[in-house]
Amino acid sequence: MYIIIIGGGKVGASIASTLIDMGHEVLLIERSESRCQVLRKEFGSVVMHGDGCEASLLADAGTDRAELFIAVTEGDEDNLVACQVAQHRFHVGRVVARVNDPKNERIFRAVGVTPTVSAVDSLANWVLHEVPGRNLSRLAPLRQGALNLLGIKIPPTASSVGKRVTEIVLPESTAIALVVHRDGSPTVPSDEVVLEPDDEVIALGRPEDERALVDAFTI
Amino acid sequence: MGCGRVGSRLATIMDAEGHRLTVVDVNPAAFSRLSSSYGGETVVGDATDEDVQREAGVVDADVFVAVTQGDNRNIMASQVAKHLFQVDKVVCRIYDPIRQEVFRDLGLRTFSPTTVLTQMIHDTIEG
Repeated sequence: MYIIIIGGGKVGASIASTLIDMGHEVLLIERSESRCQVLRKEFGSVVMHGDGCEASLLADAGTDRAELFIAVTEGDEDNLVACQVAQHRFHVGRVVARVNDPKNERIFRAVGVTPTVSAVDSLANWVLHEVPGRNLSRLAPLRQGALNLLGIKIPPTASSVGKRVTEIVLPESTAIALVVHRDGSPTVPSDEVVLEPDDEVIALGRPEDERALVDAFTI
Repeated sequence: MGCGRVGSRLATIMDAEGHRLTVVDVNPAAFSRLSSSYGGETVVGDATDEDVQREAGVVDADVFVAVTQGDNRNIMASQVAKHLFQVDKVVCRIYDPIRQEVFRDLGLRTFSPTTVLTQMIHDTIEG
């Protein structure tokens, strides 16, 4: 598969390295010439110097035959524009954009640049996962953010404690994937599984159902 | 958005014509380009940021104009105004002619000074 990456920082270089190992044809476009020199030592001729938003450069790069276009610069406006040029001028079917400021995610979605990946959000979620007393962790977005994989910790005071997991009334279109017990052992939900304090329920739901889903286990 | 030569001049003219103006620029010193008669608002900030647009009252605006030096900043701010605040008329300067075509087709009213100026010079030579 021919894959174009815009932005040769640490993130872009790491993605390029993995994709090349997988056997893909990769082009890594980086704006800074001095950074390009560093990248060429590792990647050789797959590095291209230039502005990945410039349509004439994307034409030279053969963007019209790319199957995947990845924009991971540190400028959200550059990632947003580069992906739209790839989609609408070069008809690239799949784009992935890095969003540096999580609040910009709304505009990326509004103009159809999905999926997006927010390093700040992901990192914040993993750190918050380690904070005691926090009942909810967003583990991963699925289906371009239409669903979230959630970890819900059962507080000792919750009415769900002592109940079979199958007795809990869930909001519609949500599901429990696993129950992870305090000792770390995972079990598939069944009538035999009784919820205990500090168990973690791994559940799936749409973002709008998240509150109700968490409340079902924690109130 | 953008209080450079074009932005400040446009704001001064339209303010004098009786329109309600707000000029947004990341650099407060840029507002010194506005005429002393300018009676509109000024907001310091980056108008690609939804919150800055909210503060500038974009939600009530009939027209949004993006004329900073950065094509991509202009495009992103214009799309925020159009898609998140439903501004009817969004005017955006894009130097790169191909990018200008792409975003014109996506519903922005785009201007490429490169294309316009080239045409004018060409016509002057030929005329």
